[in-house]
Amino acid sequence: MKNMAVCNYVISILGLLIGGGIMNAASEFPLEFTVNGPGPGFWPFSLGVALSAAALILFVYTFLHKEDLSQTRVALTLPANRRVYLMMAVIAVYCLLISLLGFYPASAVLIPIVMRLMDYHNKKVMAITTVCTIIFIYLVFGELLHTQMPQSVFWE
Amino acid sequence: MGDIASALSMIFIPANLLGLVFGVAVGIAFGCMPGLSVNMGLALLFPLAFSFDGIGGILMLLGIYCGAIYGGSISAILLKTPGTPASVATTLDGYPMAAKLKQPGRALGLSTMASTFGGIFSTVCLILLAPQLAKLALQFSKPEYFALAIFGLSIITSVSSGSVIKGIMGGLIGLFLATVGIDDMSGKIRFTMDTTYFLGGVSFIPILIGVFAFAQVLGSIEEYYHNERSEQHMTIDKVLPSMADMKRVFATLLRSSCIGTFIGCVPGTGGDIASFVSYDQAKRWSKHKDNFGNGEPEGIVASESGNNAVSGGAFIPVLTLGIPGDGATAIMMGALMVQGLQPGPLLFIEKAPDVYAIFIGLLLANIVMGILGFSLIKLFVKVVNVPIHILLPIIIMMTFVGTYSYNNSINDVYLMVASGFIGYFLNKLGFSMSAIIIGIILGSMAEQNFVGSLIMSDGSFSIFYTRPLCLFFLVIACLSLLSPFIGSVIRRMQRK
Repeated sequence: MKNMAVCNYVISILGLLIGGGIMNAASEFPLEFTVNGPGPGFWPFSLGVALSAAALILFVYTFLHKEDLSQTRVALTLPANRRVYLMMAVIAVYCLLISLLGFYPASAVLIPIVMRLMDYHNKKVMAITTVCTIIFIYLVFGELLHTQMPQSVFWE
Repeated sequence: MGDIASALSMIFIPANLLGLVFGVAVGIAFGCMPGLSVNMGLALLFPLAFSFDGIGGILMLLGIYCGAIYGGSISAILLKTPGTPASVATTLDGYPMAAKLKQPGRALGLSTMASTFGGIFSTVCLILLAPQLAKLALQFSKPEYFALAIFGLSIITSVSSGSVIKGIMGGLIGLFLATVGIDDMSGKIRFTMDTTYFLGGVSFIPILIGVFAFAQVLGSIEEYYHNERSEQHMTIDKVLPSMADMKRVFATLLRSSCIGTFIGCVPGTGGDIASFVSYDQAKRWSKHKDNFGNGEPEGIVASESGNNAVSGGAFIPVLTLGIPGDGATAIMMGALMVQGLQPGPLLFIEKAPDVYAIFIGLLLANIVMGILGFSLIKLFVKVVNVPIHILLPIIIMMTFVGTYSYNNSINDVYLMVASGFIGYFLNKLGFSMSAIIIGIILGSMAEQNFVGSLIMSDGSFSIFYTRPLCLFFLVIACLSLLSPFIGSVIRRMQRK
């Protein structure tokens, strides 16, 4: 558990960094006004300035209201969050598996894992859900809409 | 008349009608399942919309939009868990009627009737008012459009329920993302990180699906860690409202539909506000004040007609001015833009048949919603009980398939996943996803008209405050931006 004040300080710093980054990247383009209006860097540079200003305001606001904001808890390390992080890792691996195995085999692996991660143990229902979902996607997207889902690199 | 005939010929194609009915059914299903939302439904089926020819995909999305607002009432009545925020007020009398009075069918029937009436009423208002407003908006030039874009962006403060400053930061990030790719004015390539993938700009659809659908799935996984969702086992009797009920609620129905339509027209509001205001007014004017909270039919009708009436009202600023009022209308506006229909007054001249097709489509969506609501309510009641551990893996799969099928690009899938991961944390930290999406959608409109205005004025900023309409919208935008701060100052002064 973190409190919102700490989170806001981190967001402010990140906002300042991103705002500065945008200004820096935008300054590589012309900023000056010509007969063709402001240069292509002007608008994004202004957005960078505005983002930095908003981040600064958030920092000052948090400093002024730190006691109130400290009461608001932000759950980031609870077991429920850890389950989400695990799910994120599974999804990241799934993204790799799509390229390696192809979409349908990778999905056949993913669906039961997601159900298992959600504390579901009935293997019969897991199998039925997996098969039905994949058949549905194949029929609707593969056959009806002619979407060529990613193939395995080994097939290619 | 020719335009209307063209619109009818666009709509009355079997595939398009099927898309509309499918959209309404899916929308009701999304609305009635707690944890799923209107935005999620729209985002998930957004790519599918482009599989249809012409206006068919837009009709499907219209169906989802209408159906999901109504669907929220089903779980609100049966489970006391509103499927969407717009249905919170429905629980106040809907659940007592279903559970205490043992009349779930009556409650569902009243909500179906009220939702249908509210939706149709507001669509008729849209048909009558939008062309008039569009005529007025035809006088607009680049400075006015820039001011409108700023006004549209200013509603970020209203859609940011967590923190206004974070909402603004999200909107600015959205605006920056809209600058990636080839600059339309100068032809320069900006912020593409030397990849060809970003040359055409940051793809809107993967981000949309990521922040509205994938991030919400991750949030649901966290939410249901401890909580098992409650199930309902009520027997649904007859759902058609009786004449006695109709007489009792008719005035409330009309009043709430007017309130909902008006609130819908105001960018930054939404169904939740409309339903509570309608409920409050119904209670104030009712002869049965004491019965509110105990299963009062007027209470159900007020909130449901109020929140569904928002649908037509919300399309007035979207179609005439190109300003989305909330996340759902931002998605709808994105869909129109991707289909080559740039919302704004010129749409009424250049693509009049399409505009009429949208009007008629919205009207049909509400009628279909009523028909499906009355005839298939027992089926939708079963949908409420679909276990979350079956639902979420299917939705995860749909986010991947939907994203990939739009462009057949695996990079889009990676972008969607990244947006979903970031969106999960941003949601927890009080950022508004709608603000980011509104920023992306209005970004190019704001920049192009800003640059265009300055070219018109030879670089003088005076163009923004010497044109009355432009100044008007900029002042309104400033007031809208500052309204949360002004509101808190007034409340503090009142307390003192």
